[in-house]
Amino acid sequence: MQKDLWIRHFRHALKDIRTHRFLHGITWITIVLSVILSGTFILFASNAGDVIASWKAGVRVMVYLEKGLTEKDLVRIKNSLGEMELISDFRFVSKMEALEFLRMRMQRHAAVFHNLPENPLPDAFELRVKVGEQGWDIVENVALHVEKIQGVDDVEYGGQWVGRFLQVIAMLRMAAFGMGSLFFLVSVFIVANTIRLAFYSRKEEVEIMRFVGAEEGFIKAPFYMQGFLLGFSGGLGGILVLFVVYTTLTFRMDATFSALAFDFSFLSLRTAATMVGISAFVGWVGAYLSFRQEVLE
Amino acid sequence: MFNVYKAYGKTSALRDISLEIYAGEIVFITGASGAGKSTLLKLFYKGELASQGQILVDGMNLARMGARKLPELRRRIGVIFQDFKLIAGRTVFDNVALPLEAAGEKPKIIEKKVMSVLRTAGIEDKAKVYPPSLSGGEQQRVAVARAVVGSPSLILADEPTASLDPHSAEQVIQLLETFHGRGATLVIATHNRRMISRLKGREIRLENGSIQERLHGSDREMEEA
Repeated sequence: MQKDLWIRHFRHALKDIRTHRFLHGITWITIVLSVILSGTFILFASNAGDVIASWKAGVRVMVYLEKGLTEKDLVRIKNSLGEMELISDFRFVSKMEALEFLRMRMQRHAAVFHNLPENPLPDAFELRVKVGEQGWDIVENVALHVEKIQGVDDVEYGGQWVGRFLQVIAMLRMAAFGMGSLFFLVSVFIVANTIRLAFYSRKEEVEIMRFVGAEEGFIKAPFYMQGFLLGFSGGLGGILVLFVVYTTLTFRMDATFSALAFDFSFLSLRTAATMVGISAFVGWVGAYLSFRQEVLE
Repeated sequence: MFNVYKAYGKTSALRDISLEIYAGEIVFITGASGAGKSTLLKLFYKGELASQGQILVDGMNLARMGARKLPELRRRIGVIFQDFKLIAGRTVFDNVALPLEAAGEKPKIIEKKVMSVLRTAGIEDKAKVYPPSLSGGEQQRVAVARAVVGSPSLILADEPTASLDPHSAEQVIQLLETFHGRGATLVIATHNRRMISRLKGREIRLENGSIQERLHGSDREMEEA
Protein backbone atom coordinates (compact mmCIF):
# COMPACT_ATOMS: atom_id res chain seq x y z
CA MET A 1 0.00 0.00 0.00
CA GLN A 2 1.37 3.36 -0.96
CA LYS A 3 2.39 6.00 1.56
CA ASP A 4 -0.34 8.46 0.55
CA LEU A 5 -2.98 5.83 1.20
CA TRP A 6 -1.65 5.18 4.71
CA ILE A 7 -1.73 8.91 5.38
CA ARG A 8 -5.32 9.00 4.12
CA HIS A 9 -6.34 6.11 6.38
CA PHE A 10 -4.52 7.69 9.31
CA ARG A 11 -6.34 11.01 8.71
CA HIS A 12 -9.69 9.26 8.56
CA ALA A 13 -8.92 7.26 11.69
CA LEU A 14 -8.05 10.45 13.60
CA LYS A 15 -11.17 12.16 12.27
CA ASP A 16 -13.32 9.27 13.49
CA ILE A 17 -11.65 9.34 16.89
CA ARG A 18 -12.34 13.09 17.10
CA THR A 19 -15.96 12.67 15.99
CA HIS A 20 -16.68 9.96 18.58
CA ARG A 21 -14.33 11.37 21.19
CA PHE A 22 -16.42 10.34 24.20
CA LEU A 23 -16.71 6.72 23.11
CA HIS A 24 -13.07 6.52 22.11
CA GLY A 25 -12.11 8.34 25.34
CA ILE A 26 -13.83 5.69 27.46
CA THR A 27 -12.14 2.93 25.47
CA TRP A 28 -8.77 4.64 25.79
CA ILE A 29 -9.19 5.00 29.57
CA THR A 30 -10.10 1.29 29.84
CA ILE A 31 -6.92 0.36 27.99
CA VAL A 32 -4.85 2.74 30.13
CA LEU A 33 -6.31 1.22 33.31
CA SER A 34 -5.64 -2.30 32.03
CA VAL A 35 -2.04 -1.42 31.33
CA ILE A 36 -1.62 0.31 34.71
CA LEU A 37 -3.07 -2.66 36.57
CA SER A 38 -1.12 -5.29 34.66
CA GLY A 39 1.99 -3.11 34.81
CA THR A 40 1.68 -2.75 38.59
CA PHE A 41 1.50 -6.50 39.05
CA ILE A 42 4.39 -7.05 36.67
CA LEU A 43 6.36 -4.34 38.48
CA PHE A 44 5.92 -6.03 41.85
CA ALA A 45 6.46 -9.51 40.48
CA SER A 46 9.66 -8.55 38.64
CA ASN A 47 11.09 -6.70 41.65
CA ALA A 48 10.18 -9.56 43.95
CA GLY A 49 11.84 -11.86 41.45
CA ASP A 50 15.01 -9.76 41.71
CA VAL A 51 14.93 -9.98 45.50
CA ILE A 52 14.48 -13.76 45.37
CA ALA A 53 17.34 -14.02 42.89
CA SER A 54 19.59 -12.03 45.23
CA TRP A 55 18.55 -14.26 48.14
CA LYS A 56 19.31 -17.36 46.13
CA ALA A 57 22.81 -16.01 45.67
CA GLY A 58 23.19 -16.13 49.45
CA VAL A 59 20.65 -16.02 52.28
CA ARG A 60 21.75 -14.06 55.35
CA VAL A 61 21.66 -16.04 58.62
CA MET A 62 22.54 -14.47 62.00
CA VAL A 63 24.14 -16.74 64.60
CA TYR A 64 23.99 -15.20 68.10
CA LEU A 65 26.54 -16.47 70.61
CA GLU A 66 26.27 -17.11 74.33
CA LYS A 67 27.82 -14.58 76.69
CA GLY A 68 31.26 -15.11 78.19
CA LEU A 69 32.85 -17.14 75.41
CA THR A 70 36.66 -17.25 75.24
CA GLU A 71 38.86 -16.61 72.20
CA LYS A 72 39.36 -20.37 71.98
CA ASP A 73 35.59 -20.92 71.82
CA LEU A 74 35.28 -18.37 69.03
CA VAL A 75 38.01 -20.10 67.00
CA ARG A 76 36.27 -23.44 67.48
CA ILE A 77 32.93 -22.06 66.32
CA LYS A 78 34.63 -20.35 63.39
CA ASN A 79 36.26 -23.65 62.37
CA SER A 80 32.94 -25.47 62.62
CA LEU A 81 31.27 -22.92 60.38
CA GLY A 82 34.16 -23.05 57.92
CA GLU A 83 33.72 -26.80 57.56
CA MET A 84 30.13 -26.43 56.36
CA GLU A 85 30.08 -26.47 52.53
CA LEU A 86 26.75 -24.69 52.19
CA ILE A 87 28.04 -21.61 53.97
CA SER A 88 29.51 -19.43 51.25
CA ASP A 89 30.79 -16.71 53.52
CA PHE A 90 30.79 -15.70 57.17
CA ARG A 91 32.12 -12.94 59.34
CA PHE A 92 32.29 -12.20 63.05
CA VAL A 93 30.16 -9.28 64.28
CA SER A 94 31.26 -8.19 67.71
CA LYS A 95 28.70 -6.85 70.15
CA MET A 96 30.46 -3.44 69.93
CA GLU A 97 30.03 -3.38 66.16
CA ALA A 98 26.39 -4.42 66.51
CA LEU A 99 25.72 -1.62 69.01
CA GLU A 100 27.43 0.91 66.76
CA PHE A 101 25.27 -0.23 63.83
CA LEU A 102 22.16 0.06 65.99
CA ARG A 103 23.14 3.58 67.07
CA MET A 104 23.53 4.63 63.44
CA ARG A 105 20.18 3.20 62.51
CA MET A 106 18.41 4.81 65.47
CA GLN A 107 20.06 8.21 65.52
CA ARG A 108 16.81 9.95 66.54
CA HIS A 109 16.65 7.82 69.70
CA ALA A 110 20.32 8.21 70.63
CA ALA A 111 19.39 9.01 74.26
CA VAL A 112 18.34 5.39 74.79
CA PHE A 113 21.94 4.23 74.32
CA HIS A 114 23.51 6.82 76.67
CA ASN A 115 21.95 5.36 79.81
CA LEU A 116 22.81 1.71 79.14
CA PRO A 117 24.84 0.19 82.02
CA GLU A 118 26.35 -2.36 79.65
CA ASN A 119 26.06 -3.48 75.99
CA PRO A 120 23.00 -5.81 75.92
CA LEU A 121 23.78 -7.20 72.45
CA PRO A 122 25.52 -10.56 71.99
CA ASP A 123 28.52 -11.33 69.76
CA ALA A 124 27.42 -12.93 66.53
CA PHE A 125 28.41 -14.49 63.23
CA GLU A 126 26.79 -13.32 60.00
CA LEU A 127 26.56 -16.20 57.49
CA ARG A 128 25.64 -16.39 53.83
CA VAL A 129 24.02 -19.68 52.84
CA LYS A 130 23.97 -20.78 49.20
CA VAL A 131 20.41 -21.64 48.24
CA GLY A 132 20.87 -22.24 44.52
CA GLU A 133 18.37 -24.65 42.99
CA GLN A 134 18.20 -26.82 46.14
CA GLY A 135 15.34 -24.85 47.66
CA TRP A 136 14.75 -22.99 50.86
CA ASP A 137 14.83 -26.07 53.12
CA ILE A 138 18.59 -25.96 52.90
CA VAL A 139 18.63 -22.79 55.02
CA GLU A 140 16.64 -24.53 57.71
CA ASN A 141 19.02 -27.52 57.68
CA VAL A 142 22.06 -25.24 58.02
CA ALA A 143 20.34 -23.36 60.85
CA LEU A 144 19.65 -26.63 62.71
CA HIS A 145 23.27 -27.74 62.35
CA VAL A 146 24.64 -24.40 63.48
CA GLU A 147 22.27 -24.33 66.46
CA LYS A 148 23.89 -27.56 67.72
CA ILE A 149 27.39 -26.03 67.85
CA GLN A 150 28.41 -25.49 71.45
CA GLY A 151 28.37 -21.78 72.35
CA VAL A 152 25.63 -20.84 69.87
CA ASP A 153 22.67 -19.25 71.63
CA ASP A 154 20.24 -18.59 68.77
CA VAL A 155 20.01 -18.68 64.98
CA GLU A 156 17.85 -16.26 63.00
CA TYR A 157 17.16 -16.61 59.32
CA GLY A 158 13.57 -15.45 58.81
CA GLY A 159 12.67 -18.85 57.42
CA GLN A 160 8.96 -18.64 57.97
CA TRP A 161 8.41 -15.24 56.44
CA VAL A 162 10.63 -16.14 53.48
CA GLY A 163 8.29 -19.03 52.77
CA ARG A 164 5.26 -16.79 53.10
CA PHE A 165 6.89 -14.18 50.93
CA LEU A 166 7.47 -16.77 48.22
CA GLN A 167 3.83 -17.82 48.43
CA VAL A 168 2.74 -14.19 48.10
CA ILE A 169 5.02 -13.74 45.09
CA ALA A 170 3.61 -16.85 43.44
CA MET A 171 0.08 -15.59 44.06
CA LEU A 172 1.04 -12.15 42.81
CA ARG A 173 2.35 -13.66 39.59
CA MET A 174 -0.81 -15.66 39.10
CA ALA A 175 -2.92 -12.61 39.87
CA ALA A 176 -0.84 -10.56 37.41
CA PHE A 177 -1.45 -13.12 34.72
CA GLY A 178 -5.15 -13.53 35.56
CA MET A 179 -5.95 -9.84 35.98
CA GLY A 180 -3.85 -8.88 32.97
CA SER A 181 -5.62 -11.43 30.78
CA LEU A 182 -9.02 -10.41 32.10
CA PHE A 183 -8.45 -6.71 31.60
CA PHE A 184 -7.03 -7.20 28.13
CA LEU A 185 -10.06 -9.33 27.25
CA VAL A 186 -12.31 -6.54 28.52
CA SER A 187 -10.27 -4.07 26.44
CA VAL A 188 -10.64 -6.22 23.32
CA PHE A 189 -14.39 -6.37 23.89
CA ILE A 190 -14.69 -2.61 24.44
CA VAL A 191 -12.48 -1.78 21.44
CA ALA A 192 -14.54 -4.16 19.30
CA ASN A 193 -17.76 -2.44 20.32
CA THR A 194 -16.32 1.04 19.86
CA ILE A 195 -15.08 0.23 16.36
CA ARG A 196 -18.39 -1.41 15.59
CA LEU A 197 -20.31 1.68 16.63
CA ALA A 198 -17.93 3.92 14.65
CA PHE A 199 -18.42 1.61 11.66
CA TYR A 200 -22.22 1.74 11.98
CA SER A 201 -22.19 5.51 12.32
CA ARG A 202 -20.45 5.57 8.95
CA LYS A 203 -22.61 2.82 7.46
CA GLU A 204 -23.98 5.08 4.72
CA GLU A 205 -20.49 6.26 3.81
CA VAL A 206 -19.30 2.67 3.75
CA GLU A 207 -22.17 1.72 1.42
CA ILE A 208 -21.28 4.60 -0.92
CA MET A 209 -17.65 3.48 -0.89
CA ARG A 210 -18.77 -0.01 -1.88
CA PHE A 211 -20.86 1.47 -4.71
CA VAL A 212 -17.86 3.28 -6.15
CA GLY A 213 -15.78 0.10 -6.13
CA ALA A 214 -13.71 0.42 -2.96
CA GLU A 215 -12.13 -2.83 -1.77
CA GLU A 216 -13.05 -4.06 1.71
CA GLY A 217 -9.45 -3.50 2.82
CA PHE A 218 -9.64 0.13 1.72
CA ILE A 219 -12.91 0.62 3.61
CA LYS A 220 -11.83 -1.13 6.79
CA ALA A 221 -8.23 0.04 7.01
CA PRO A 222 -9.11 3.29 8.87
CA PHE A 223 -11.07 1.26 11.45
CA TYR A 224 -8.16 -1.14 11.98
CA MET A 225 -5.95 1.91 12.34
CA GLN A 226 -8.36 3.32 14.93
CA GLY A 227 -8.10 0.12 16.95
CA PHE A 228 -4.33 0.10 16.64
CA LEU A 229 -4.04 3.77 17.60
CA LEU A 230 -6.33 3.30 20.61
CA GLY A 231 -4.32 0.32 21.79
CA PHE A 232 -0.94 1.88 21.12
CA SER A 233 -1.71 5.25 22.70
CA GLY A 234 -3.53 3.55 25.59
CA GLY A 235 -0.50 1.34 26.22
CA LEU A 236 1.83 4.32 26.06
CA GLY A 237 -0.47 6.33 28.34
CA GLY A 238 -0.68 3.50 30.87
CA ILE A 239 3.10 3.06 31.01
CA LEU A 240 3.54 6.82 31.35
CA VAL A 241 1.05 7.07 34.24
CA LEU A 242 2.69 4.07 35.90
CA PHE A 243 6.11 5.68 35.53
CA VAL A 244 4.92 8.99 37.01
CA VAL A 245 3.30 7.21 39.98
CA TYR A 246 6.39 4.99 40.42
CA THR A 247 8.76 7.98 40.32
CA THR A 248 6.68 9.93 42.84
CA LEU A 249 6.35 6.99 45.23
CA THR A 250 9.96 5.82 45.04
CA PHE A 251 11.19 9.39 45.52
CA ARG A 252 9.23 9.57 48.79
CA MET A 253 10.14 6.07 49.91
CA ASP A 254 13.73 6.16 48.80
CA ALA A 255 15.10 6.25 52.36
CA THR A 256 13.04 3.20 53.36
CA PHE A 257 14.17 1.18 50.36
CA SER A 258 17.80 2.14 50.97
CA ALA A 259 17.57 1.05 54.58
CA LEU A 260 16.23 -2.32 53.44
CA ALA A 261 19.06 -2.57 50.93
CA PHE A 262 16.31 -3.10 48.40
CA ASP A 263 16.69 -1.70 44.88
CA PHE A 264 13.22 -1.12 43.52
CA SER A 265 13.45 -0.73 39.75
CA PHE A 266 10.89 0.25 37.07
CA LEU A 267 9.85 -2.01 34.19
CA SER A 268 12.67 -2.61 31.74
CA LEU A 269 12.43 -0.85 28.40
CA ARG A 270 11.85 -4.23 26.78
CA THR A 271 8.94 -5.08 29.11
CA ALA A 272 7.39 -1.62 28.66
CA ALA A 273 7.72 -1.86 24.86
CA THR A 274 6.21 -5.37 24.93
CA MET A 275 3.24 -4.08 26.94
CA VAL A 276 2.67 -1.22 24.49
CA GLY A 277 2.97 -3.72 21.63
CA ILE A 278 0.46 -6.09 23.24
CA SER A 279 -1.86 -3.17 23.85
CA ALA A 280 -1.65 -2.10 20.19
CA PHE A 281 -2.31 -5.71 19.18
CA VAL A 282 -5.34 -5.78 21.50
CA GLY A 283 -6.69 -2.72 19.64
CA TRP A 284 -6.14 -4.39 16.30
CA VAL A 285 -7.80 -7.62 17.49
CA GLY A 286 -10.75 -5.54 18.75
CA ALA A 287 -11.19 -4.06 15.26
CA TYR A 288 -10.85 -7.50 13.70
CA LEU A 289 -13.51 -8.95 16.02
CA SER A 290 -15.90 -6.09 15.28
CA PHE A 291 -15.73 -6.98 11.58
CA ARG A 292 -16.04 -10.70 12.34
CA GLN A 293 -19.27 -9.89 14.18
CA GLU A 294 -20.46 -7.92 11.15
CA VAL A 295 -19.79 -10.90 8.86
CA LEU A 296 -21.56 -13.30 11.26
CA GLU A 297 -24.60 -11.04 11.41
CA MET B 1 -29.18 -9.62 -19.91
CA PHE B 2 -31.03 -12.87 -20.73
CA ASN B 3 -34.25 -14.18 -19.20
CA VAL B 4 -33.68 -12.36 -15.96
CA TYR B 5 -36.10 -12.72 -13.06
CA LYS B 6 -35.99 -10.99 -9.72
CA ALA B 7 -38.28 -11.83 -6.83
CA TYR B 8 -38.46 -10.63 -3.22
CA GLY B 9 -39.93 -13.59 -1.43
CA LYS B 10 -43.14 -14.38 -3.27
CA THR B 11 -43.33 -10.93 -4.86
CA SER B 12 -42.00 -10.82 -8.39
CA ALA B 13 -40.17 -7.56 -9.22
CA LEU B 14 -38.83 -8.42 -12.69
CA ARG B 15 -40.02 -11.11 -15.10
CA ASP B 16 -38.23 -12.55 -18.08
CA ILE B 17 -36.13 -9.50 -18.92
CA SER B 18 -33.87 -9.88 -21.94
CA LEU B 19 -32.08 -6.87 -23.36
CA GLU B 20 -28.81 -5.90 -24.94
CA ILE B 21 -27.13 -2.54 -24.48
CA TYR B 22 -24.35 -1.55 -26.86
CA ALA B 23 -21.27 0.54 -26.09
CA GLY B 24 -21.90 4.27 -26.47
CA GLU B 25 -25.67 3.85 -26.46
CA ILE B 26 -28.25 5.77 -24.40
CA VAL B 27 -31.02 3.60 -22.98
CA PHE B 28 -33.96 4.94 -20.98
CA ILE B 29 -35.83 2.64 -18.64
CA THR B 30 -39.28 4.06 -18.17
CA GLY B 31 -42.48 2.96 -16.51
CA ALA B 32 -44.73 3.77 -13.59
CA SER B 33 -43.45 3.77 -10.02
CA GLY B 34 -42.99 0.19 -8.88
CA ALA B 35 -42.57 -1.10 -12.43
CA GLY B 36 -39.07 -2.38 -11.58
CA LYS B 37 -36.84 0.38 -13.06
CA SER B 38 -34.58 0.80 -10.02
CA THR B 39 -34.38 -2.95 -9.46
CA LEU B 40 -33.28 -3.42 -13.06
CA LEU B 41 -30.50 -0.84 -12.64
CA LYS B 42 -29.37 -2.45 -9.39
CA LEU B 43 -28.89 -5.75 -11.17
CA PHE B 44 -26.22 -4.16 -13.40
CA TYR B 45 -23.93 -3.24 -10.49
CA LYS B 46 -24.91 -6.17 -8.28
CA GLY B 47 -26.77 -3.92 -5.88
CA GLU B 48 -29.28 -6.77 -6.09
CA LEU B 49 -28.79 -10.34 -7.25
CA ALA B 50 -30.95 -11.78 -10.01
CA SER B 51 -33.11 -14.69 -8.88
CA GLN B 52 -32.71 -16.30 -12.28
CA GLY B 53 -31.12 -15.55 -15.66
CA GLN B 54 -27.79 -14.32 -16.88
CA ILE B 55 -26.31 -10.83 -16.83
CA LEU B 56 -23.11 -9.88 -18.65
CA VAL B 57 -21.53 -6.46 -18.07
CA ASP B 58 -18.42 -5.53 -20.02
CA GLY B 59 -17.65 -9.24 -20.48
CA MET B 60 -18.16 -10.08 -16.79
CA ASN B 61 -20.74 -12.76 -15.97
CA LEU B 62 -22.33 -11.43 -12.79
CA ALA B 63 -23.83 -14.76 -11.74
CA ARG B 64 -20.41 -16.41 -11.69
CA MET B 65 -18.51 -13.42 -10.38
CA GLY B 66 -17.16 -13.80 -6.83
CA ALA B 67 -17.30 -11.13 -4.13
CA ARG B 68 -13.62 -10.31 -4.70
CA LYS B 69 -14.38 -9.16 -8.26
CA LEU B 70 -17.25 -6.89 -7.19
CA PRO B 71 -15.09 -3.75 -6.63
CA GLU B 72 -13.60 -4.19 -10.11
CA LEU B 73 -17.10 -4.37 -11.65
CA ARG B 74 -18.22 -1.29 -9.75
CA ARG B 75 -15.17 0.68 -10.83
CA ARG B 76 -16.27 0.08 -14.42
CA ILE B 77 -19.72 1.49 -13.66
CA GLY B 78 -20.66 4.98 -12.50
CA VAL B 79 -23.92 5.16 -10.56
CA ILE B 80 -26.06 8.28 -10.08
CA PHE B 81 -28.84 8.11 -7.50
CA GLN B 82 -31.99 10.14 -7.14
CA ASP B 83 -31.02 11.09 -3.58
CA PHE B 84 -27.40 11.88 -4.66
CA LYS B 85 -25.82 9.67 -1.98
CA LEU B 86 -23.03 12.11 -1.19
CA ILE B 87 -21.00 11.85 2.00
CA ALA B 88 -22.01 14.87 4.10
CA GLY B 89 -18.79 14.96 6.11
CA ARG B 90 -16.55 15.20 3.06
CA THR B 91 -15.99 18.15 0.77
CA VAL B 92 -17.17 18.13 -2.83
CA PHE B 93 -13.58 17.42 -3.89
CA ASP B 94 -13.28 14.45 -1.52
CA ASN B 95 -16.65 13.04 -2.61
CA VAL B 96 -15.68 13.18 -6.27
CA ALA B 97 -12.20 11.83 -5.53
CA LEU B 98 -13.56 8.72 -3.78
CA PRO B 99 -13.68 6.35 -6.81
CA LEU B 100 -10.14 7.35 -7.76
CA GLU B 101 -8.86 6.87 -4.20
CA ALA B 102 -10.57 3.48 -4.15
CA ALA B 103 -8.83 2.62 -7.41
CA GLY B 104 -5.47 3.51 -5.81
CA GLU B 105 -4.72 6.55 -8.00
CA LYS B 106 -1.91 8.89 -6.99
CA PRO B 107 -2.89 12.20 -5.33
CA LYS B 108 -1.59 14.34 -8.20
CA ILE B 109 -3.63 12.41 -10.76
CA ILE B 110 -6.66 12.50 -8.47
CA GLU B 111 -6.43 16.28 -8.16
CA LYS B 112 -6.06 16.76 -11.90
CA LYS B 113 -8.98 14.48 -12.80
CA VAL B 114 -11.30 15.76 -10.07
CA MET B 115 -10.72 19.43 -10.90
CA SER B 116 -11.22 18.69 -14.58
CA VAL B 117 -14.55 16.97 -14.03
CA LEU B 118 -15.70 19.65 -11.57
CA ARG B 119 -14.87 22.27 -14.22
CA THR B 120 -16.99 20.41 -16.77
CA ALA B 121 -19.82 20.17 -14.25
CA GLY B 122 -19.54 23.91 -13.56
CA ILE B 123 -18.90 23.47 -9.84
CA GLU B 124 -15.16 24.01 -9.73
CA ASP B 125 -15.62 26.81 -7.17
CA LYS B 126 -17.47 24.43 -4.83
CA ALA B 127 -14.56 22.00 -4.45
CA LYS B 128 -13.99 22.82 -0.78
CA VAL B 129 -17.66 23.10 0.13
CA TYR B 130 -19.55 20.38 2.03
CA PRO B 131 -22.57 18.87 0.20
CA PRO B 132 -25.28 19.92 2.71
CA SER B 133 -24.60 23.58 1.89
CA LEU B 134 -25.25 23.01 -1.85
CA SER B 135 -28.56 23.21 -3.71
CA GLY B 136 -30.19 20.00 -4.98
CA GLY B 137 -29.05 20.70 -8.52
CA GLU B 138 -25.48 21.30 -7.43
CA GLN B 139 -25.49 18.13 -5.33
CA GLN B 140 -26.70 16.12 -8.30
CA ARG B 141 -23.93 17.62 -10.46
CA VAL B 142 -21.43 16.52 -7.80
CA ALA B 143 -22.98 13.03 -7.94
CA VAL B 144 -22.64 13.01 -11.74
CA ALA B 145 -19.03 14.18 -11.44
CA ARG B 146 -18.33 11.34 -8.98
CA ALA B 147 -19.95 8.82 -11.32
CA VAL B 148 -17.87 9.86 -14.33
CA VAL B 149 -14.51 10.79 -12.75
CA GLY B 150 -13.11 7.29 -13.11
CA SER B 151 -14.07 7.21 -16.83
CA PRO B 152 -16.42 4.22 -16.44
CA SER B 153 -17.65 2.47 -19.56
CA LEU B 154 -21.21 2.40 -18.21
CA ILE B 155 -23.13 5.11 -16.35
CA LEU B 156 -26.33 4.14 -14.55
CA ALA B 157 -28.64 6.93 -13.44
CA ASP B 158 -31.67 6.23 -11.28
CA GLU B 159 -34.16 9.10 -11.66
CA PRO B 160 -31.35 11.70 -11.76
CA THR B 161 -33.69 14.66 -12.21
CA ALA B 162 -36.66 13.51 -10.14
CA SER B 163 -35.95 15.70 -7.15
CA LEU B 164 -34.72 18.74 -9.09
CA ASP B 165 -36.40 21.93 -10.32
CA PRO B 166 -36.60 22.32 -14.14
CA HIS B 167 -33.52 24.57 -14.35
CA SER B 168 -31.33 22.19 -12.30
CA ALA B 169 -32.72 19.21 -14.20
CA GLU B 170 -31.72 20.91 -17.45
CA GLN B 171 -28.15 21.37 -16.18
CA VAL B 172 -27.93 17.69 -15.21
CA ILE B 173 -29.27 16.64 -18.63
CA GLN B 174 -26.64 18.82 -20.31
CA LEU B 175 -23.97 17.25 -18.17
CA LEU B 176 -25.07 13.71 -19.02
CA GLU B 177 -25.09 14.70 -22.68
CA THR B 178 -21.52 15.99 -22.36
CA PHE B 179 -20.24 12.77 -20.79
CA HIS B 180 -22.13 10.64 -23.29
CA GLY B 181 -20.35 12.66 -25.96
CA ARG B 182 -17.07 11.49 -24.44
CA GLY B 183 -17.99 7.86 -25.09
CA ALA B 184 -19.86 6.64 -22.02
CA THR B 185 -22.86 4.31 -22.29
CA LEU B 186 -25.84 5.70 -20.40
CA VAL B 187 -28.67 3.71 -18.85
CA ILE B 188 -31.16 6.08 -17.26
CA ALA B 189 -34.28 5.20 -15.32
CA THR B 190 -36.55 8.22 -15.62
CA HIS B 191 -40.00 9.77 -15.96
CA ASN B 192 -38.54 12.92 -17.49
CA ARG B 193 -39.97 13.09 -21.06
CA ARG B 194 -37.93 16.19 -21.78
CA MET B 195 -34.72 14.30 -21.07
CA ILE B 196 -35.83 11.36 -23.21
CA SER B 197 -36.66 13.50 -26.24
CA ARG B 198 -33.54 15.62 -25.75
CA LEU B 199 -30.98 12.78 -25.50
CA LYS B 200 -32.57 10.68 -28.24
CA GLY B 201 -31.86 7.22 -26.88
CA ARG B 202 -33.60 3.89 -26.95
CA GLU B 203 -36.52 3.53 -24.55
CA ILE B 204 -37.56 0.39 -22.72
CA ARG B 205 -40.91 0.59 -21.03
CA LEU B 206 -41.50 -1.63 -18.03
CA GLU B 207 -44.86 -2.59 -16.64
CA ASN B 208 -45.28 -4.81 -13.61
CA GLY B 209 -41.72 -6.05 -13.96
CA SER B 210 -41.89 -7.01 -17.64
CA ILE B 211 -40.72 -5.24 -20.76
CA GLN B 212 -43.84 -3.79 -22.34
CA GLU B 213 -42.38 -1.87 -25.26
CA ARG B 214 -39.04 -1.10 -26.91
CA LEU B 215 -38.95 2.24 -28.71
CA HIS B 216 -36.17 3.79 -30.76
CA GLY B 217 -35.81 7.56 -31.17
CA SER B 218 -37.66 7.58 -34.51
CA ASP B 219 -40.54 5.39 -33.19
CA ARG B 220 -40.95 7.71 -30.24
CA GLU B 221 -40.99 10.83 -32.42
CA MET B 222 -43.78 9.27 -34.46
CA GLU B 223 -45.63 8.27 -31.30
CA GLU B 224 -45.26 11.74 -29.81
CA ALA B 225 -46.38 13.36 -33.09
